[in-house]
Amino acid sequence: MRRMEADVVVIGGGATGASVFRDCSLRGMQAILVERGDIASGTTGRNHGLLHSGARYAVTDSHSARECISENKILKQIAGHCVEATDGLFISLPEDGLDFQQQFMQGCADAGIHAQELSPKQALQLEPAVNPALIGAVRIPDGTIDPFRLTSATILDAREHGGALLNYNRAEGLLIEQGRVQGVRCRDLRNGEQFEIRCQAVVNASGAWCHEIMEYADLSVDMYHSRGALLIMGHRMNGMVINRCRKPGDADILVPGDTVSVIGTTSTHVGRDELETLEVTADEVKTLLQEGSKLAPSMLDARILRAYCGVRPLVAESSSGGDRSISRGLVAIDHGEQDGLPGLVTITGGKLMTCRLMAEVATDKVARLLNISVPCETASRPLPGAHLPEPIGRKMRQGQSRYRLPDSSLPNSIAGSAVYRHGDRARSFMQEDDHHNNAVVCECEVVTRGEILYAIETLNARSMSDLRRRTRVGMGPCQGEMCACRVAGLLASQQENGDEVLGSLQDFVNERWKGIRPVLWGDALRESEFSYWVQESLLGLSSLQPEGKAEDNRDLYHEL
Amino acid sequence: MNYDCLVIGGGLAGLTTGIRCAEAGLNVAVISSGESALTFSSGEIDVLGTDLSGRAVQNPFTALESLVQHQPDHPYAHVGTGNVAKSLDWFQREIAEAGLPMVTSGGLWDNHWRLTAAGALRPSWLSQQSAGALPWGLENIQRVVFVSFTGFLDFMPELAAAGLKTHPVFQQAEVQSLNIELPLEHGRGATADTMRAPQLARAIGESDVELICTRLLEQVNDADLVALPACLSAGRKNWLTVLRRRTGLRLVEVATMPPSVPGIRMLSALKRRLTAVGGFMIPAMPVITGDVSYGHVASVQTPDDELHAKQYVLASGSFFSKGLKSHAAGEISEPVFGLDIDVPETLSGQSFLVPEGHGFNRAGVRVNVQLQPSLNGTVIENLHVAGSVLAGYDPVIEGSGGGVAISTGWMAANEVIKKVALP
Ligand SMILES: Cc1cc2nc3c(=O)[nH]c(=O)nc-3n(C[C@H](O)[C@H](O)[C@H](O)COP(=O)(O)OP(=O)(O)OC[C@H]3O[C@@H](n4cnc5c(N)ncnc54)[C@H](O)[C@@H]3O)c2cc1C
Ligand SMILES: Cc1cc2nc3c(=O)[nH]c(=O)nc-3n(C[C@H](O)[C@H](O)[C@H](O)COP(=O)(O)OP(=O)(O)OC[C@H]3O[C@@H](n4cnc5c(N)ncnc54)[C@H](O)[C@@H]3O)c2cc1C
Repeated sequence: MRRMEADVVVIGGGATGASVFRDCSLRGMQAILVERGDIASGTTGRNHGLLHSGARYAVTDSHSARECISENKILKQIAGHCVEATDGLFISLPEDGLDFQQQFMQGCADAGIHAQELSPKQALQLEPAVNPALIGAVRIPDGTIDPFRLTSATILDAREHGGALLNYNRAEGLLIEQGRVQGVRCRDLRNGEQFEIRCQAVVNASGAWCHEIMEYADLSVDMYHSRGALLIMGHRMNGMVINRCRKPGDADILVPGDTVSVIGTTSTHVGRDELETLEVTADEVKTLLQEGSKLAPSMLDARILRAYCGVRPLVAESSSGGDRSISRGLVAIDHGEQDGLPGLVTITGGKLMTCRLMAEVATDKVARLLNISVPCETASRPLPGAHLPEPIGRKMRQGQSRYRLPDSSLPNSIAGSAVYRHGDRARSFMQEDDHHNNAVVCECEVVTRGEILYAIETLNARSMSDLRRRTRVGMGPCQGEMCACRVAGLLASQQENGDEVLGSLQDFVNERWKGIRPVLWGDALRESEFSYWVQESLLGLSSLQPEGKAEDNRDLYHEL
Repeated sequence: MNYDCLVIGGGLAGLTTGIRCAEAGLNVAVISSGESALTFSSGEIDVLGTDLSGRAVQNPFTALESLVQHQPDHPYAHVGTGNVAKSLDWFQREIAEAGLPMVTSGGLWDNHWRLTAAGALRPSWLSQQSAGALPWGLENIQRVVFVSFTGFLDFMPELAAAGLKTHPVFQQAEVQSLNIELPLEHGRGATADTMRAPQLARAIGESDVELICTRLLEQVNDADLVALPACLSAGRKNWLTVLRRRTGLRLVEVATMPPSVPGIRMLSALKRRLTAVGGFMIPAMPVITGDVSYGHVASVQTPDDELHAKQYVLASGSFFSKGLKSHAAGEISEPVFGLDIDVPETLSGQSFLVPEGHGFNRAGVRVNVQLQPSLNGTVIENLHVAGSVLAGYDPVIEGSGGGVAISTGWMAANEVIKKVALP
C-alpha cells in the first residue's frame, strides 16, 4: 500500500478545514488536506453567504455576536476580494412592532456592533428594494461573503506554503497505535486505490459528517443536524443585506451576492441518514417566498433561479429547546484531553464567517501537540488576491462593477469580474492583448477562457462542477445552457481522460437541474426547455456513455 | 384586410402552413413575434428517432405505425401515418424549390446518423447536403478527425472526439482532433475567439480556405471522415464544396452551439418560399389576444391592430417561444386564446438527462383529429393548431420535432383549404 507522511492531516475541505490547512501551513507544519469531494462541496457550498455583523445574535446569543463582529472586521481586511461590505438593514414591519428594536439596539451596543437607527424614509433611500411598509430600520455592518472564493483562496495560500491538497480522496479510517492517532487511511475515489498517511496529528474538520470520523476511533458526539433551504433570485434585487428586526425566524434574511440575491433560510432538524439526500420541498419554497416578500415585495415578480439547501453542523448542548436556541458557537475538542486519545482534534459547529477563528483555536491545539510555538498570524495576513490597491466597496445593483484591474485598458465588464472573483491574482490570467485568453466563455458571469484555464492549472479544478465553484461558470441566469459545452471543450483540451470530462459534463447538467426543479415555472421552465433541446437534441448528451464515472456522485445534489 | 387564413407563429410549423395555403391560392399571412426554434436547431428534420422502448429506429415510417397505435392522442395519430409521409415528401420538394435541397441517406425512407458537437450520434431523417448524413451502418468508418478553428468556442474538437469514442462502434476506431489557426480574411482584425458561427462563416475567405486545404491534406489525408463546424457552407461562397473537391476527403459540417448556421439557412429558405408563392410575412409582431365566441374566432389583436381572417392557425411553439406559459403551482396555459390544455401528472423527472424525458415536453394544447382545439370544452371550428404548441408528444425523446411540425402544419393547411373552398 502507498504511504505518505505529513505533520498534520486535515479531514474536510470546507471553509473550516481549509482554514486549518492554511493556519498549519503558515506555522511551518507539513500539512495534507483530504477531502472526499471537491473543496467547498459540503455545507460551505450551500449556505447563505452572509458576512454576519453579529447583529442577528445581539439579543439571543451575545457570545456569538461578539465573535461575529470581530471576524467580520478581520475578513474585510484579509479577504477583501471574497467579501462585499454592503452593510445591512434590520427592518421592523407593522406586525413586528418596535419593541424588539430597542432590545436590539442595546444588544448591538453591548457586543460592540455599530448600529444606526434610521427613519423608514432614510432606509428606503439607502435600499429601494426594502418593503415600503416598514416602520423602522437599523443599519449595521453586515456584508456578504463568497464561500467558494474564500475556501479557494485559503487553500491556495496553504499550498503556496507547502501544503498538499488531496481532493476526491476520502478518509476511511484512523491509524491508532500505542493509544494515539498516528495517521489516516484514505481512498482515492477516482481509481479506488487505498493508501495511508502517517502523521503526528489529525484534525477532523468534516462538518456535518464529523461524527463519522469520530466513529473510526469509537468516539461519539451528539450532533444536531439542522437543515436550511434557500432560494436564489435571478437578479440582484438589493444592494444591502435586509433582515427582519425580530427574533430569528424563517426566511428573514435577503442577501445580495454577485449577480443574484438569496432569500433564506428555513430550519428543520434532520437525521444522520438524510445528509446526502437534500431536496427542497414545495412547502419550503412557499414559506421562503411568502416570508421573503415581506422583506422585499418585488420578490414575487422576480424570476427564481434555483433552490438549494444545506445542513448546519451544530453540536447539541442540551436536548431541550428548539434548534435556533442551540449555540452557533464553535466546538473544538482535543480528544487527548477529553477521551484519552491524543493526536486527534475535532473542530466543528460555528459558521462560515468564523472559519478563521475556528482554525486558530484548532491549530493552537495541534501546535501544542507538536510542540510548535510559532504564533498564529491569520488575523492579519491577507489571503492571496487580497492585495488590492483600494478597499473594495459595494457592487452596484445594476451589475456595473466598481472592481477594476489597475492600469488595464480591458473592458471593465471583463476585467472587473475577474478582479471581483480573484482579486489581484486576476493578473495571473488576464493580459492586456491576449484576445485568445480574454474571450468570454460564460456570458452571464463573464468568465473568460483564461480564467477557466487558470482554475484548472492553479486551483485544482478537475471537473465541470469544480470549475463552477472556482469561477461561477454556469451559475447565472442561463444555468450553463450555453457555456457548459464550451467549458467541457476547454477541459477536454487540457485533460487526457475524455471519459472523465464527459461524465463531469453530464453530472454538471444534472446538478444544475436539481436546483431548478423545485421552482420549475415561468422563465425557469422556459430556460429549462431550451436547455433540454440544446443538451439532449442538439448535443445528444445522454447518449454518450463514458466509462468509469467517479464513484462519488455527491455533486448530484444541489448547490448554490 | 381580411385574410383567408392567418397563421400565428412563424416557425417550422407556421411557415409550412403558410406555404401550403399560399400555393393553394389562399390569401394567407404569417404573423410572428420572435425567433423560431429553427435558429437554434441542427437544421435537420427528425421524423422519429427512437421507438417506444427507447431504441434508435432505422425506418421511422414503419415505427410510426406502432407509435400511433399505442398513443392515439399523438399528433402523428391525428395526421395519420400515410399523411405524415405525404407531407414530408411535399416538404422535401418545397425546400428544394427554395434552393435548399435536403437529402435522406441511402434508402428514401431510412434514418441516418447526425453527428453532434459533443460527438454523439442522433438518428435523423432529412439533412442538408453540407451535413453529409452518415448512413446507418457505420462500420467502415475507421479514422475520424474533428477539426475546428483556433479560438472558436462553439465547436470544440477535443470534446467531440471524446464523445464519439464512447460510441460502441468507434471504440476501436481512431478518433482525433485538430485545430487550425485561421487569419480570417474578412474578419476585420477580429479573431474566432469572440465569434459565433454565423459571424465566423462571414469572416472566412479564399486565403483561409487555402490554409484549411493545405492542413487537411498534410495532416488528415487518410481520414475516413472529417467533421468541421457548420460555418463553411454559408459564407461568401460555399467553401465546403470547394474543400471537398480540392481534398477529396469526406467532409461533413456539424451544427455548432446556437445560433446555428444550418438552422438559420432553413428558416430563410422557408421564408423565401412563402413570399415566392404569394404569402405574406408579418414579422416582429405578437398576437396578444383572440376574440372567440360561440366556437368561432372573430378576430385577433396585436398591440396596434385588429386582424380578421376566415381561418386561423395557431403555431406559436412551446414554452420557449411563449406559445405556452407556465405559472407557479404547476398551472399551464395557452396565452393567446386560453385554449384547453393537456398537462401530464408529473412535469419533470429527478435527473435532467433521463431516458423517459420530462412531462413539460408533453404539455400543450389538446386538439381533436382535425387539429381543432377547444375553449372550455367548446370546439373552435375556424382555428387549427400545429407544431410544438400541441400536447401529447415529446419531440426530444422521440426525435420527432421537425416531423410533427411539418406534418401538423401541412394538415392544418389542408383543413383550412377545404373550408375556405366551401361556399
Ligand atoms: C442553510 C445554511 C445557511 C448558512 N448561512 C450562513 C451564513 O450566512 N453565514 C455563515 O457564516 N455561515 C452560515 N452557515 C453555516 C456555515 O455554512 C457552516 O457553518 C460552514 O460552512 C461549515 O463549514 P465546514 O468546513 O465546517 O463544513 P463543510 O463545508 O460541510 O465541510 C466538511 C467537509 O468534509 C468533507 N468530508 C466529510 N467526510 C469526509 C471524509 N470521510 N473524508 C474526507 N472528507 C470528508 C465533506 O465532503 C465536506 O466538504 C449556514 C449553514 C446553512 C446550512
Ligand atoms: C436547440 C434546438 C435544436 C433542435 N434540433 C432539432 C433537430 O435536430 N431536428 C428536428 O427535427 N427538430 C429540432 N428542433 C425542433 C424543431 O426546431 C421544432 O420542433 C420546431 O421548429 C417547432 O416548430 P414550431 O413552428 O412549432 O415552433 P417555433 O419554432 O417555436 O415557432 C413558434 C413561433 O411563434 C412565435 N409566436 C409565439 N407566440 C406568438 C404570438 N402570440 N404571436 C405571434 N407569434 C408568436 C414565436 O416567436 C416563434 O417564432 C430543435 C429545436 C431546438 C430549440
